[in-house]
This record gives sequence, C-alpha cells and structure tokens, in this order.
Amino acid sequence: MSNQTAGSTEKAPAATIPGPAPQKAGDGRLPRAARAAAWLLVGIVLLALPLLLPPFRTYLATVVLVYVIAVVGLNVVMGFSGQISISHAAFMGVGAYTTAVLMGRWELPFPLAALAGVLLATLLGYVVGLPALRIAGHYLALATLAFQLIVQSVIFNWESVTNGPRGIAVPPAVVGVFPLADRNLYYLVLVAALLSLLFVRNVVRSRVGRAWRAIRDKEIAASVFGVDVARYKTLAFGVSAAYAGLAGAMFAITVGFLDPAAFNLWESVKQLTMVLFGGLGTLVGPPLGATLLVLAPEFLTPFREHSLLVFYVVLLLVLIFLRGGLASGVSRTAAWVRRRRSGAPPPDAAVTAGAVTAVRDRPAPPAERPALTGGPVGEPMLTAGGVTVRFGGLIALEGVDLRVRDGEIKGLIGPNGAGKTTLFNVLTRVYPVHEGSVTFAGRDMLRLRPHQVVGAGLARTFQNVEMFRSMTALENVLVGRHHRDVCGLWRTGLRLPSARAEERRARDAARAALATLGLERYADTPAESLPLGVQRRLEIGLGVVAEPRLLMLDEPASGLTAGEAAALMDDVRRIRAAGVTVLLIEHNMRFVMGLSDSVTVLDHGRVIFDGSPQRAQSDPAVVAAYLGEVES
Amino acid sequence: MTVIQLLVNSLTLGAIYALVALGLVLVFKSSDLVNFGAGDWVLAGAYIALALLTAGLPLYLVLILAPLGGALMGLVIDRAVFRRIMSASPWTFVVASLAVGGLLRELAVLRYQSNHFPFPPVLSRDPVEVLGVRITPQNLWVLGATVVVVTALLLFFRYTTYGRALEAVAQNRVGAQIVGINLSRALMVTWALAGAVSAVAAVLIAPSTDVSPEIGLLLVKGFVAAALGGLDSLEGAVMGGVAVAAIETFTQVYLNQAAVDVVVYGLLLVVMWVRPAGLLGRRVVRRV
Repeated sequence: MSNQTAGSTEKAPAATIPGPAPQKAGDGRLPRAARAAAWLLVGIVLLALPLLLPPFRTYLATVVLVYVIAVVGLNVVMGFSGQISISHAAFMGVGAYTTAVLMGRWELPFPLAALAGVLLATLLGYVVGLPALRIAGHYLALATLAFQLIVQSVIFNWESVTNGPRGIAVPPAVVGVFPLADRNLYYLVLVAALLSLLFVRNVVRSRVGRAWRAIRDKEIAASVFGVDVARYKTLAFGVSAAYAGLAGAMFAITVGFLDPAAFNLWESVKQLTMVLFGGLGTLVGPPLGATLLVLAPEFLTPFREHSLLVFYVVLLLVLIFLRGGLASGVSRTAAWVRRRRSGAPPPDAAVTAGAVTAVRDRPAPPAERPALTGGPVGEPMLTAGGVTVRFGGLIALEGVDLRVRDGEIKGLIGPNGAGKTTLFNVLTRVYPVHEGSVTFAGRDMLRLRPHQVVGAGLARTFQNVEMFRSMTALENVLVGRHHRDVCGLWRTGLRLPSARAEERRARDAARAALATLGLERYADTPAESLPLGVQRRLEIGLGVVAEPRLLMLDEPASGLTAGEAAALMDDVRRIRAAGVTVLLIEHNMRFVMGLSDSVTVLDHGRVIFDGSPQRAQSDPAVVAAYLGEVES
Repeated sequence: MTVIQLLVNSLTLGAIYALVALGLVLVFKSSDLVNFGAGDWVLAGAYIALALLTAGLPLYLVLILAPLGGALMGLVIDRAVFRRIMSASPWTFVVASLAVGGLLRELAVLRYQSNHFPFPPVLSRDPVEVLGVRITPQNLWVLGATVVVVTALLLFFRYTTYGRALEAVAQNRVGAQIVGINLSRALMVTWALAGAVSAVAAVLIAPSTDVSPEIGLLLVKGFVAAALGGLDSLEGAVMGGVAVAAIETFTQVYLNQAAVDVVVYGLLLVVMWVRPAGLLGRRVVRRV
C-alpha cells in the first residue's frame, strides 16, 4: 500500500494488495510513453488555460493552484513522514495574514512580505513539530489541534493588526511594472506550484525522503539504521509549514481579501480531505484531490449549498472505501488491466516462487581464512560491563558482562526471557541502562543517541523482521546507507551535482549488497510482499550496507526452512570473511553452534556461561537452564 | 468579586468541560482512540434533546430519553463508520472522528439553521447565598449530576467485569480477544456509552449555553481538560475540567477576554510538550 501509515495495521494480509505508490514498484504504472504524453498534455492545458478562460475562471484556476501548493506540503508531513497535522490551514493563515499585514501597513513589496510569511510559518512549523520528538499519534494530533485553535483565536482577537472578524483587505501587488493580477498572477502561481511539486518529488526520491518514509513505516528501525528521527520529523513539519505559508501568501494576493474563516479548523479538515481523496503519500494524488475538491462547489450544486456537509461525507467515504485515494484507484486498475492482458499471475505469487530458487543460484561462500575458523581472535571490540536494566520492579539484566572480539562470530543464547534481546536494545541505545558500561571500539556507547550507534560501527537486525514495508527492497537497503551520506533537504531537492553523485554511489553499493545476497531480482518489489525468508536476508543486507564493524543479528534463522537457514549460514560466514564481526542471538542450536567461535549464555538476566560452543553443550548450568534443574 | 466567588462561578463551567472530557476519556480508556469529534457529539446530544422537547415531551422524560437517543447515535456511528475503519491506522480514526463530528454539526445546521434555542433548566436560576457565596440551584444540579456521572463511570471501570474488559481491549486488542472478550460487542458498548454520556452532558450544559452550532467550539476546551488530567484518567478529566475553567475565568477577569483561547490552548500545547500523559495519566511507554 502506498497508503503507508494506513497500511501499518491493515488486517488483511497486506502482502496480497498490490502496492500502488512505491516508485518503480513495477506494475501499477502506465507505460513511459503514455506518461510522457499525459504530462505534456497537462502542461499544454495549464499554459493555455488563462488564454481560453474568462477572467473569473482564471481566478478560480489560480485558487486551485494555491491549494495545490498547500496540499503538496501537507502530504510531506502526513503522506511521507507519517505524522499527523490538523493545523495546515492555520499555517496557511499565518502566511496569508503576514503577507497582507506587511503589504498593507508597512507597504512592503509583495516578494518581501511573502518571504516573511513563509519564514514565520516555517518557524512555527518547527515549534509545533517539536513535540513530535516525544509524542505521536493522538497526542501529536492534539498538539496540532491546539496550534490551529491558537492561530484562529489570534487572528480573530488581535483586531488592531488583523482587523479581527471583519477580515482584512490586501493591497494589489505590483512587481516592477507588472501588476500581479489575472493572467500574470496565474502564471506566477503556476510556476510556484510546479516548482513546489518538483522540489518535493526530488526530496522524496532521495536520502531525505527515504528517511521520512522509513520513520513512517518503522520508527525504531529507522533510528537504529542511523536516521535522526527527531530531526527528520521536525524537518517534515517545517517543510510542510513552509509550503502552507507560501500558499497563504499566494492566496492573499489572489483573493485580495482575507476572511478569518478561510483558515479555521474546518479548512484544515478540508485540506486533509483533498490529500486523502487524491491519494496520501503519492505525488500526483494530492494535487488531483485539491483540483477536484476546489472546483466541485463551482460546478456541483450540492457542494455549493452544503459545502461542508458534502466534504465530510466525501471524506468518510474515502476513508471507508478508497483508503489509497484516487491515485491508488487508478494504479490498481492499471495493474489489473495489465495482468489481464498478459495473463501473468499476480505479482506476489511470482515473488514467492522466485524466492525458492533464488537461494540456489548463488555462488558458494569463499573459503574462510584459516585464522578465523579457530577460536576467538583479535582484541576485544565490544565490552559490556555490569549492565543492569530494570523495568519497574522487574530486573531484566543484572550485572551482565559481554565481550566480543574483533573478527569472531559470537553466539548469545539462553532460554526465552533470558534478556538477550534486551541486551541488544541496550547495546543499540534503544533502552536506557541503569548501571554498567558499554564500550565499543574504544568509545563509550552510553553517550550516544540511538541514531548515532550505526555511525559508530554497530548495526543490528530485529527479532520480528522490522522492514520498511512500503518501500522497495532497494530502498530498504538504501536506508542502511543513510548514516554514511550527508546530502540534506536543499541539495537533494535542487538535485545539485553533489546530491546526484552521492545518490548514484549509494545505489551502486545497495545493488551490490543485494547481489551478494542473491536478492537483486527483488530490487523494485515492496518489502511487504516478500516472503519471510527473503525479508530476513534483506534486513541483513540493510545491516551489511551500513558497513558496520559489528553486525548484531537477532534470531536470524527463526521461521526459516532448513534450506533457507543453511543459505543464511553461508551468508553469515561471507559477512565475517569480509571483515565484519558478528554477534548472534539464536535458538536454532545447529545454526548457532555451527557458526560461533564462542558463546555467552544468559539466563534470567545473568550470564551463566562464557566460552567455546563445545564446552557450553556439556556445561551443567547451561543444560539446567535449558532443560530445568535435575531433581536430586 | 472575591476569589472564592470566582472559583465557585468557574466550577459550573468546569463541570461542563469535565463532562465533555469524560466522554473522551471513556472512549480512550476502552478503545485507545481519541474521538476528535467529542464536542460535536455533545452538540448532537443537545439537538436530540431539543427535538424531543419540541415534540412536546415533558422535561423529565427528555432527561431520560436523550441519553437513550445518544446511545443509539453512538451505535449507528459505530456501525456506519468506525467499525469499517477498525483495522486502519490510528490517524485514520483521528480524521474519521473529526469528519463524523463535523457531519453531526452540519446535519444539525441543515435541520435547525444557526438559530439559538433556549433550553429549560431543571432547577431555579435565581442565586441563593450559601456561606457568603452566591450560587444558583441549577448550577448545584449540574455539579451534582457531574459527580454522579463520574462516580458511576469510575465504579463501572473499577468494579465491573465489563468495565475491566473494556480497559483490556484498549490496552491490547488481540490479547483481549484471546481471553474471550467479544471485541465487536466491546466497541459497540463503548460507543453507545460515549453517546449516552454525551447526551447527559448536553442536557446539563444546554440551559446555560442555549442550543446552537456554536457550542461545538466551546466544547473543544473539553480536550484541554482531558489532556491536562491524562487521557485515560476519569478523575483527571474532572480535575482537568475544573482547572481549565478556573484558568479561563481568571484570565478573563485579570487579563483579557481575548486572551482566553490562546492561554487555554497554549496550555494544551505545553502539556503535550512537557507531559503528554497529563497529570494523572499513565505514562506513555514506548515499546520495541
């Protein structure tokens, strides 16, 4: 589902729904030539429109474009980064009123006034986005609701500036000798809208966009793979508010008179409707939704007479029956037509069938360097000392010592509930530590924030495969590169040469990683429609492409068939042969004993054994932990 | 006016906010959802009561029938909308509940336009003096009824199996189903209860606000009350309501009428920022 956030708790097996939006997902798209022709046609129509229409209609088209700018921004925060905002109209109001007041009272020229409006809106966007660092879901919705109501109230009550409920007139804008009105204005807003859309398109397809979508799909995994969640969430709010501010400025000079009612809560809900109706998280959906819903009242009587009522009904119908919006409807239909025509099986069946053969087609792992096959080698790389973690009264880990040497494969085993995954969460800074120390390659890990861990050289996988489900296999692996790259919003949005070069390098590395794991054929398949075995290897690929010094795998073999597990053993050996140290949690004893140079055994949050796998199997304490105490 | 008198005056307003907040908390406790249309549910309850009254029913009968009408409304909304998006993500519900709220209000406008309708009080509105503080019997009735509603809900959640089952549903839907709770029925009960509580709130509020589409916005302050107290705490909702009303009253008297909304919603923003779980709520735990 492109409809990411909505997809996360989808009850039906999500894998059976062909995803509409993920780029290059293959099926749902029109052929290239058809798309080019469609865009050309849209372009010509947009350019010719004001020449064909009477002035009033041109005005209407301009208003449509203003809302296109607004919803493209709303889609950034809701569609791509998966955060909720019910205050978009308020940000638009900030932009509009700032522009109007600066032009009217201070007689600033329009470009300056608009710039001020955009900046103020952006700033407030960051402020409202701040709580997103700590809260999500309903709480965030409440925070944005609060902001909406505050802005509404300020506009209404600060009469000396905003003229309160009576509204405020916007002086006509002139740039140089050109009055910004009618056709001139239309073209100005058209250019702004197209550039806005282009910028977002570039960002979304880059490192920044992938970070947003990773947060949307699986926040904790995103942070473990190096995405600074807090920063990217507030960035999304800032960008979205900037777009709203720009739309507001354009709105002010287009309409010429600001009525506070244009920016109230219900207008925010209207903009939500536009985005959802068109297709959340798609590029063309929201503009389409805005166009249809702005025009509807002009052409359909029920819309005109009971505009809000009809809006709510449309919104509910979309939520119930068309959760991916129009865009998903279109691409789903296109996919269906194609399948019909080619008689091919649905994509998921093909994927599953392919997965079975994929494993066999790979080259054998390289022979291990003799030095690495023996016992532990090298200096200690990771040292945890006396780690204690408590959850309320429950002691999950108590004085745990763990040492992983450079170049070894270390097994971490123990019965269920022993604290193995908790230890992983400690090492990657997901859980706080109450006592103890963790040093990795000479660095004090406990001083790092979660997203900095991977940069320090420590990557991990999760017990319950935490993939970014709506993203393709390639995009998933690319998230593993996030921490190595640097290009941010501006460079990716403007597609500067540095950003393009960086993206090319990252894609090459990601493709290479997929190839090593024998997964290149799934590069463009959304992760959620891959079978579990492939997902597990893909997650390992994510870890590998991050180029860590230590890779921590949490039950990588669980749920795999014997054949898949054997292939995975080869993968792990290959990873180690490439110079990566591996720490492994596993219940599959053949797997862990066959791979590990040494094992540490945890039971009830304490270390009960540390040594070679052979000795572990005969150690009385270990046997007792697994089989229960022998009654004497 | 003395500070005590101001506080007493704000108590009734506090009860009004508390009643809206109770509807919110009730739903959150039993389904882990925030009904962003809660204010409009109360609004709808008020119009249900108004419709019954204009149909010629005596007031006492309206007081009994309106909650039943509210419960019915809850059932219908659950069936028609909420049930169908149950498997979608939380924000889908946020948007849907906003839309349902808006729809309820627009339907009311469709039928009654934007007119203000007076609603008869149960008791007299002539103030009497108690211990040097002036208060009307009607306000005492509102306060008393609020206490009864919150006590009943507290007892329901704390001591009845069904109340605890609802709380289980909120905390873990799958787990609740595994131990034999009928999820579908639990949600039905939740929404019926939410509708009924909204209607009770409505008949208590209506005499002092009149019945008009504008009260929906007034009632949004119930959200601040609920968030302040903690979204899952019934006691918190009442305390939050009282606190918000006191803050509002004092802002009005000592600062400025125009500043009220900014102060109150600013408070909501600050709560979400500093302590999203509210004063009495359970801490928001992040699970991996």
